[in-house]
Amino acid sequence: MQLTHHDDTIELRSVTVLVTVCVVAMAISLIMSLRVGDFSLSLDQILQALKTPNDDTPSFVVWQLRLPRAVLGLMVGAVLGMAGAIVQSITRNPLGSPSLMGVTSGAAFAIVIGLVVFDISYGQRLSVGTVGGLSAAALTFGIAWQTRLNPVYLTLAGMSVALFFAAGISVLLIASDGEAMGLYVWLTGSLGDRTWQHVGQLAPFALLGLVMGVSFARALDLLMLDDDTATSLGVSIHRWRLLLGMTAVILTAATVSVAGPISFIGLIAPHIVRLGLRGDGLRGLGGQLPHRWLLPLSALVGASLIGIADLIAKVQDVPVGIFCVLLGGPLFVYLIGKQPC
Amino acid sequence: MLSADRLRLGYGNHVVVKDISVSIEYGTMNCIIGPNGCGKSTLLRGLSGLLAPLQGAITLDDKPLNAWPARQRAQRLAVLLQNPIAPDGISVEQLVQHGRYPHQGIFQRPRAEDHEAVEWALAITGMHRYRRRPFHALSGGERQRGWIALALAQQADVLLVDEPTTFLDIGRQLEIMDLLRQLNRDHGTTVVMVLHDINQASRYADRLLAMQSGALIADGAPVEVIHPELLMQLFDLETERVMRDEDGRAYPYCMPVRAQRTPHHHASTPRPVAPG
Repeated sequence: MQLTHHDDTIELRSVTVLVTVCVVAMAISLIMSLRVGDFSLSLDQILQALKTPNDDTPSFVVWQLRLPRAVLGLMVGAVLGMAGAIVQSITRNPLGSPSLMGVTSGAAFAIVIGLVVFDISYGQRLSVGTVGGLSAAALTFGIAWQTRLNPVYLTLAGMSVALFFAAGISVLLIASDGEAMGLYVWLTGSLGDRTWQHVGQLAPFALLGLVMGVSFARALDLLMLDDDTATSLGVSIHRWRLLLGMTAVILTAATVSVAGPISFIGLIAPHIVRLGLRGDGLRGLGGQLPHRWLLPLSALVGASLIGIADLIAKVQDVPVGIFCVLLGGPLFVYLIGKQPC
Repeated sequence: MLSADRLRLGYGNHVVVKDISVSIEYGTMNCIIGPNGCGKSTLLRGLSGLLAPLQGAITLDDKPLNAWPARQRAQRLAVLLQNPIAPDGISVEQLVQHGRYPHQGIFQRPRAEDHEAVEWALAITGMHRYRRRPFHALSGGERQRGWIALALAQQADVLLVDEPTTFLDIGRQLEIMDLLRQLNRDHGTTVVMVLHDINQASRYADRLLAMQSGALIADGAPVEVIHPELLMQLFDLETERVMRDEDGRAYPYCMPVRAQRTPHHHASTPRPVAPG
């Protein structure tokens, strides 16, 4: 069959299916997370509280306890999904994600040092976490540089750095003589007891990340070429990698400062998008999934994943980070099995 | 005009190209020849701006190449090196569309002229039939034409190509060479290529640049450059030269007779091993 006419329309079916599944998952997790808890609410009570907020208990529970947690969870998931997609593309590494590059642990380590040693305020967590995340990223890339950033070595270096910082956190917690034990739940990645203040803190980063990711999508598409070809096309590859890498680190540090380190969402979300669109979806998009689609869809999938994971976490009364590891671990093993060494 | 002035190129302390001066005229077909490791690919990398000179300068229209803004340079110079890697799953058309980046930048959406350039590049390389195909599903010759289409979509005046026919069967080799000649003749594209096949170089190029051990040892029209003495010096190869004629243009053709291995000769001229 000969296609002679350029057809710019997109086969939207698989995209629509993916978006629908995500929206339904988010809606279910949102409604359920408003209903369940120590104080069970009916749908009527929730609707009543949402429509006409007042001083009664259901209103307080919905507006002050449950809604901020649910909204924050969705935002954290979206930001992590996007950061994961950016890291995977700038390193051309399907195993890439902020937590596997050591960024998440580095940010958490810096925040714990700040809290235990320097007694930093809540607002300072973000900048301290960013510094930690950047240092960890620099360390990981420094170690893997001599293998020309081979995906498997880069991942091994990142995991070593992550373990190193995790050990550092343990040392600090033990040395602080029990005082910092309150940090333990935060360190497993938790969305419990979050307020609108946390939402307000993360919101500008979520927005900034989405805008930057989507506006720089073309650069990410070009970075998927080999370095010589991209350079000969006039792409300043190092400048773009640095800019986009810093964006991913800041986005990650922002989530760590409000919700603690949450792993695997950044790794899984972009893969679910690619798997979901394989088949006629990708063919319709003309082959490679362009980043202007991959980034927002990864954010959507990341948000749905955290929504579901936090619902289960809430019912079981464990931190959401633990569920993400339980979900993400097996998938990671599957992905690493597919890598050439 | 693309010029190199006392150009020295290398990797770290290892000098591969030693003080070469050469000027490439617009509208000509130029071919760099020489034995393995003589520095011809390195010279091409230097001329394309991908490898910064250790010493000397490369100028495009009298302005140093590294003073050109990256995208403006890419509007003038298109480069196709050996073994480029296509992203997973990318289609032929998506790949060729990347060739418009020098004219568009990150934020500009494709305009009519961008679509026209992509269509032209696909049509002239015969790749329009495969536009929706995954690049990885193509044969070697089709892939090479796809890469050339990417370079053509840039609509650059100068096309720098490193061994475009390696790994292709003889039919596909001539297809690529005819395509490059067509671009040169019909569209005035300046071509600088590295070739291993002396006879293809002789047949298709206006000017040959012969390199040995990082230096330029012969420079001129094929009829002046291609002689059994030179080929013996370059390749330790005994040849018989005959003249052939194509459309009124005479060019030398060399039949290989036998390789002469003289270890002594190799010891006296150690050959640098260039990466890539």
